[in-house]
Amino acid sequence: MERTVDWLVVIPLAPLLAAVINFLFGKWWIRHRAHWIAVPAVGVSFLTSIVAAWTVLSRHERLHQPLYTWIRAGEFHVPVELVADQLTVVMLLVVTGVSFLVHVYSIGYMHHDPGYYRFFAWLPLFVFSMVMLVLANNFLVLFVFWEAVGLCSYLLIGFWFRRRSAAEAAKKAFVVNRIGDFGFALGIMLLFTSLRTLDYHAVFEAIPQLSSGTVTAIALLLFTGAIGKSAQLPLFVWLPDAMEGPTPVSALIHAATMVTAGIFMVARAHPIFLASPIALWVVAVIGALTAFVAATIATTQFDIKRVVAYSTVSQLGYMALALGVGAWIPAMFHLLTHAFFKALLFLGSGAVMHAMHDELDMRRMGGLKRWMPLTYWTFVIGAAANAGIVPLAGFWSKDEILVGAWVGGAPLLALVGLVAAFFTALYMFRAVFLTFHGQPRFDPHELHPHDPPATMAVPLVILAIGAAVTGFLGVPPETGWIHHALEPVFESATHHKVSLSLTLGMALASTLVALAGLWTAHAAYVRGTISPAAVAERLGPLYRLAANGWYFDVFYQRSVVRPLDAAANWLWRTVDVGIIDGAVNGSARIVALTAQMWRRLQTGLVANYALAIALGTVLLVGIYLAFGSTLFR
Amino acid sequence: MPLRLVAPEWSLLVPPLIVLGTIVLLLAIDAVSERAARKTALPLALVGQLLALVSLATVDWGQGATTFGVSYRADWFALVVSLIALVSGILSVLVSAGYTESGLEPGVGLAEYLALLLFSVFGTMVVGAAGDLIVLLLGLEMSAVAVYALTAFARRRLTSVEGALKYFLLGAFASAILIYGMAWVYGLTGSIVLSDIAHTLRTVVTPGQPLDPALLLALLLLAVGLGFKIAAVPFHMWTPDAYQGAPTPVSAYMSVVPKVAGFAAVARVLVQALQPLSDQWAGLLGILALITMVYGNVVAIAQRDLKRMLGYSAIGHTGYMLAGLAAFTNGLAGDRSVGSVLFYLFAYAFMNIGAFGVIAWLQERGLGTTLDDVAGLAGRAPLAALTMAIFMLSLMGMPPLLGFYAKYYVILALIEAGQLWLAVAIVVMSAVSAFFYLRVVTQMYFQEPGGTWRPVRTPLLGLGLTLMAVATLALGLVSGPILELAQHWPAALT
Repeated sequence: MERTVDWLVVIPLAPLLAAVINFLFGKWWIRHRAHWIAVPAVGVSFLTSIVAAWTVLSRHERLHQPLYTWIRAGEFHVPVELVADQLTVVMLLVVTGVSFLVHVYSIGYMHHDPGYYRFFAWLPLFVFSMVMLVLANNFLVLFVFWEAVGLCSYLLIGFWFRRRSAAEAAKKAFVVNRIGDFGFALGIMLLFTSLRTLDYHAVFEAIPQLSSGTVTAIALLLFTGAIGKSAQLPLFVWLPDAMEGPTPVSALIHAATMVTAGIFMVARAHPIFLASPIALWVVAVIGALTAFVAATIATTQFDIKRVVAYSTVSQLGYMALALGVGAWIPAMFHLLTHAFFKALLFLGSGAVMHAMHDELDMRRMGGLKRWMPLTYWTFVIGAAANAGIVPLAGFWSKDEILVGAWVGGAPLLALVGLVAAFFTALYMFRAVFLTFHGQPRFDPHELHPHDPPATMAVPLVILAIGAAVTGFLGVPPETGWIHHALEPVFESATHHKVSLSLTLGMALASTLVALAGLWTAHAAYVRGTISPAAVAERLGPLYRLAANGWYFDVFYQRSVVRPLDAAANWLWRTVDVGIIDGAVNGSARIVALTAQMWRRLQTGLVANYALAIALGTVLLVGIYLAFGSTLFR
Repeated sequence: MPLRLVAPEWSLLVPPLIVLGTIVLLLAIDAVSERAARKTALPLALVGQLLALVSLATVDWGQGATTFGVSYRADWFALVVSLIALVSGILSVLVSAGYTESGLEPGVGLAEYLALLLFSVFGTMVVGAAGDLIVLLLGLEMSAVAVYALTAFARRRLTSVEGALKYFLLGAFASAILIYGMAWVYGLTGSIVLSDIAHTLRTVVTPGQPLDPALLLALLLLAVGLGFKIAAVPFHMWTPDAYQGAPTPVSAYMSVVPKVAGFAAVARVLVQALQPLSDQWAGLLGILALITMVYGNVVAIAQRDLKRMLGYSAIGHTGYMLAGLAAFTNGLAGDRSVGSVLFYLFAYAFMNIGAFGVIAWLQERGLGTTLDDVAGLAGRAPLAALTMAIFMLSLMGMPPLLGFYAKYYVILALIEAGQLWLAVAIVVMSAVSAFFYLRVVTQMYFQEPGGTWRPVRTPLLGLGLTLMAVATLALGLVSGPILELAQHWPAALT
């Protein structure tokens, strides 16, 4: 069922207007009042999303609003239409809801920044792009806004562009994403050349006509885009560096929303992936490996934001694993819960940073619990949710993913997920204990840590409540609210029967694993019965492997960046300066010489001019009479 | 045979008559009171031309009606030529306004000046509507003689008088050749009426066969005479001297309107009357086009005086327009040749009068006309620099400016006519021309200013420059209606 409405456009339009207004008038006129434009706009967007979600979910019909025809070239016809189905509205709620809270939080966090107006122009612009990405009804519009969120991410990571590391991180994010997007674009082109359409509905209808090789190629190429955007192995390296951006940006873009675009895209295109078992298998394996690798790295980091960042990569890996084993709804469920607790963790670490005057190293924190109780408790809720402690949000969704992997024919990957879950609990509580427990490892007389102001505290509390309770949207497992809501979208997917004993067994296993991680962290960082240094020493190469991010960055630097750099240098110095410039300058010199010579013809004497006319006449007449007439025939 | 007097079809003559009336009014007021003339001359000239422009709408040009026998033709071609002439006339008056606004050249008889300018516009309109060789010659000379006088208008400055004298002497020489060619045509065909000449020639010429020498001689003499009017190489020698010597607003005017008259005459004579000889003249025009565009663009590189540089650049543009005419394919379906040239002239009017207008604007502020004088203009007068940059880029052919579309349509015409080599030549020469056009831009934006600066107010000139800059920016994107008008030409000429 589909219903055409005319108010869906409000959702993207409001943040777009806010972005334009702040961008045009922010610098001279609006300045520190910029949030009065941006925050209400995103609020309107959020409220409209709620209306849309209510309409779609209660009446079980898709909303649809045609806007205009963007491209009409022969059979290539691209209309821009907004379409909202169950999957879309869940994403809309996540995107606009978390965005709204982050906007509010930013009022306090960015308070003294000279680029205040700029921040409140890019942030709504991001919301606009992301909302359009979600509402798109064909692959080209999806791609356009896929790139647009990439651009916003670039702008916001490099928000403090005077800082070299920020500029570098922004560039890195852009370039790494470009590699994924290249594959994504190829996938879309292959789709078009084989099906002559890019409209979701038409594409999904026509998928069975394609050979399995083509479908696999399309699915893998599309997934390449997701690998870049959702920071999967081996393109995850940009996400930890993206922490150079302001913390609210990390929370919004690099945890809650943008990075989930890849997950969303695969879920959206699930009929394509379902047609290719190989592609699904690749997605699952990459997801599981990402979850494991990132979790091990997170365990060795000391920068609080990097811990949370690697945790994001790891959780995205879980989502990809879920997609790969056909557990579509658990993937989206985890996306939803993760948005809450990850935004909470980032905003919490932002509050810590704020209190500690931009200190990020956990080795110089400790004991903050006594000065920042609110931050502490919200952070603990977020960490526990992330670690999968009963009954917080992360437990329910992660558990479902592991069950899905088990019954989806990949018990080995489920085990990898379980191992990663151990590390998850370990690194999460390691961060909690290092930051908030023990004795302060800084001078409390110099720094006066304190809980953040209301604009920052309120979003923390709301997100903490969300992190605590959103898990119940999926209770009871397999038949919770979220399952009923998303059921219509994934009708075509096969459903595995899950026995009660398996559910309970997996829940028990993952709880035990999480508690084991928690206990290890407690032993190492609170009671001190385990010495982390000694363990690191004992593990030797393995520890160094994790601490250096499995050497992905080093590998890229040596095998890609430096050779390219050398080649570019050679092209510049030898080919460009030597050959091309030489040729251009040479021909320019010849022309200039000719010009100087011919200039002498202009003597300034009328008699010479008349002679030129006469000579020209004689010449023309002579030549033409000789060759063009009967005179000499 | 008794002489029969037939009253002319007055309604067809409204636009040129309004211009003529304006001229008479201007001179009459000047004769009565010089002071009154000083105050009223400018608005009068503007209003008169605007009225004439509006009155173009009162004539039904699609009929191809004739009057004075067949000597005056009110057809599509006449409409477009009149339109370009009047628009250029208005813009030139606005540019000239600055010259008097700032009181730069004292003792100039403003009413006389404007009357001469309008005479030239009137002459150009007559060429566009000419139905026989005599009327054509009359219009052409009226357009030219007025400009000879205008060139000498700064009569105390030697270069002005020198340029005028050269222009006049060579013009007379070329006119003699032109008239000689007309005499041959009359002798061979027994008619001076353009359509009759074409009719007669069609009966004697078989395509693909070598031509009767006498006929070929007539064609070549006409081509040389007209080649002078449009300043095609090697009949171009007068242009740089005349452009540099004349008062700058006159340079602006004469770089456009006499060229319009010249191309209108070429189209009337070659395309309409000598159409059966198109095999011969199309090739000739192609060669002239190539020589002209190469010579003009290459020599422009060596110039440091902006007016002289624009003079050579004008020669280069003549080459492009000639190339458009060389794409003539007997007015068959898809023949865009003459239409593309008309559009080029229209576009050229805005950007070239604009470029000279900026120079006039600078002169009024006490600067000279060399490249050094525009150095650092962007810092001093950012709007003027921006305007000049727009004109330079447009003359160069930068999309999406008007000049780009002008070149684009000529190249399109050439490609459809299969004359690829000329199309390639235009592209290559555009690249060469980038050198001297962009040099002006770099001077304005990347150099330190020098010289003295005399702040004066020149509102009318400013208005004119704004109009031209906006038109150069915007008209390219909405060129459809004008282009469509221009493409009606086969109905008029074939």
